[in-house]
Amino acid sequence: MKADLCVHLNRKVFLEHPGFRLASDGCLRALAMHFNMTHSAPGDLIFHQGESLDALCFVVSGSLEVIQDDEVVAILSKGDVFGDNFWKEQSIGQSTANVRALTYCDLHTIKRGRLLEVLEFYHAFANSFARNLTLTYNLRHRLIFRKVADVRKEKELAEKRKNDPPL
Amino acid sequence: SSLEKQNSAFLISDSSFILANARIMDYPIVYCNDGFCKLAGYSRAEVMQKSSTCSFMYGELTDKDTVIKIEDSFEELEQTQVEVLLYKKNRTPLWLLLHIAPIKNEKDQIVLFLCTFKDITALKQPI
Repeated sequence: MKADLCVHLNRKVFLEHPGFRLASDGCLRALAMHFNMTHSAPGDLIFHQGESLDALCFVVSGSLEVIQDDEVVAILSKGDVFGDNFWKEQSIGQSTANVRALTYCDLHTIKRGRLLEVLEFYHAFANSFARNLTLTYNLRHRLIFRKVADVRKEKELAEKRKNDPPL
Repeated sequence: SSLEKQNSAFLISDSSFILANARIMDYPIVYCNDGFCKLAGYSRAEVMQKSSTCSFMYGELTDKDTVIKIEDSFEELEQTQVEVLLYKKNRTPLWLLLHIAPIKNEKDQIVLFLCTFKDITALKQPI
């Protein structure tokens, strides 16, 4: 009964994401028992830069921003998934960005260890899950970017140097 | 009434937009709505971090001068509207009305661009 309730509470995640399409009822029950539902307020930090990536997060409502090096690099909303591809990685990753709630948010999260346990037991499901679940934002990978202001400054400096008398 | 139906369908498909970070080189996409994903045929995960100049949707029939106009609009932080031919993920060409608008934060700095797209293929000469 408890498992069925959990499946019902997580229906938005299970129905919406193609990763769960081929999951048997038993598999969904096992997953549902391990899902946590969190409610966060505007300004709450879900992940800090440098923190260990030990959970996969599904956004059920609200919106969040991903901030790397003081720049907004992504805005996540309903239906988005973020965290890490645990099932493809050997080590536990570190978050390369802050994730902060912009509005009141409902998140469904599952811990790395719990998810891997279920995937190990349900082999066929593990394959379809790995194929069909795509992260909207993978926090393990650092984005490489240059700020427009920095590039402008460099150009100005180069321009100035060109006009300098040769030494 | 069929015209009405068409009109309302047009209004729904009307809202497709992306948000870009205005302070990072190549103006990466930080958000796109479902309408844009449907229009372009790309999933949200695929579109994230791509350039908001939509260079990933250019093709051989995309007009070079229009591309320069789009790039200038981002560089000069100015508002523009252009008609541009872009390609969906399955390489179907689309005529789009693209509107680029800078967005300021509370400190009056331009931090984001809002790019809205309207499908005007039906109003154009067949390609």
